Amino acid sequence: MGNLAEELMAELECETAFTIPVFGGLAIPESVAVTWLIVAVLVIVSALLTRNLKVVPATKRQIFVEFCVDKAEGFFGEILGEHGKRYIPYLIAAVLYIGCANLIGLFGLKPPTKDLNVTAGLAIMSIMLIEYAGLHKKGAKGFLKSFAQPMAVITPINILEIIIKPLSLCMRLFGNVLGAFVVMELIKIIMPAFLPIPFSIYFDIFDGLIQAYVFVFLTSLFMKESME
Amino acid sequence: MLTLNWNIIWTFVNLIVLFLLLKKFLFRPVKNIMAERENMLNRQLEDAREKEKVAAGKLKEAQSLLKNADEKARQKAAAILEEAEKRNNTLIVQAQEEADKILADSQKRADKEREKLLSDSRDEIAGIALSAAKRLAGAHISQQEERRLFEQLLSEAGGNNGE
Repeated sequence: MGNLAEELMAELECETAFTIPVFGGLAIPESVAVTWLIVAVLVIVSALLTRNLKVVPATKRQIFVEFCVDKAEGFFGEILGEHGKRYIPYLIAAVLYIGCANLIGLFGLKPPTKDLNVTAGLAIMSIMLIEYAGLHKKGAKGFLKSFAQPMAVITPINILEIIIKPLSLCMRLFGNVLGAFVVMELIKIIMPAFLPIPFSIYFDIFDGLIQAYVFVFLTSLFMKESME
Repeated sequence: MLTLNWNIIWTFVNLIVLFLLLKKFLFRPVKNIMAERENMLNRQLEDAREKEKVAAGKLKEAQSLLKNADEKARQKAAAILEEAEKRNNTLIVQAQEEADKILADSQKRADKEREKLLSDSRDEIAGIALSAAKRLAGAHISQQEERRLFEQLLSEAGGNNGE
């Protein structure tokens, strides 16, 4: 059992993928390298999908990509409302990134979301966007006043929320990915063949996508809240 | 694992880069093409509406023209009918006159014929009577006497005829 714990810890260790020889050696963590790969793949795929689009769609590819973008915009637009439209592209980019990051374990790479730095970074970006949306919508005065709403007594709680919201976002995503990984490892010890398949479908695919969805869904919900 | 360090900055950078790249390669092209399509559709709709308006105007014009034409045709038909009736009437009158004239002419001719026939027969009768009188009286009557007798006979005959 001690062996298993050691192995798990080793798996969870954030290794350095490679070192760029600038500034006396810039260490690139594995999660960052995988993220670059995801970024490259996403950009290449979207560039291929949006190649020579026509005003009158001639290809299924175009209909597909338009359908996807339209659906995603509709989904976030419904939550965010008219004023939040400008944040939709970021949210779509985030959900694509988290979804890919959670699924990339299927290809034998270490999911970047298993690195706390990544989930924490995502959560900090989210809270910055949430507060910026409120600030942009209400103006500085209205934004500051909103901390004392609905009553002045709960101002400390409102301020605390600036920490709590991203912390919960960050830990939820990280914990789910970590938990799924640990559970999968344990199942693999019990029975390495066949048994992991249904669990893998749940933990690697379903849970990964659900967490991506939940992350951006909560972010957009908080944004809507802060804009109200 | 549970270590937060400066590598978190990579996440910000990566996410912002992904966002910008996706915006350039995914959202902007799709949005642009959708906006363009919407523009095109709106333009076509506008065009169609314009054309419909023009068509409606033309239809109205055509209908009024048709109505006018109908009215004109009716007037023309009425005029023609009137003209025809007039001509018909004059023709009838003319025919009547002609017929009257023909009737009168034939009447006149018949009268003349009868008169001629009458005078012819009178001459003949006179001749017959003369020859009969000659035979009765023999050659005793002079040429003059003969003439006178004959005249007398004639007038008597005429009187008896009630001419």
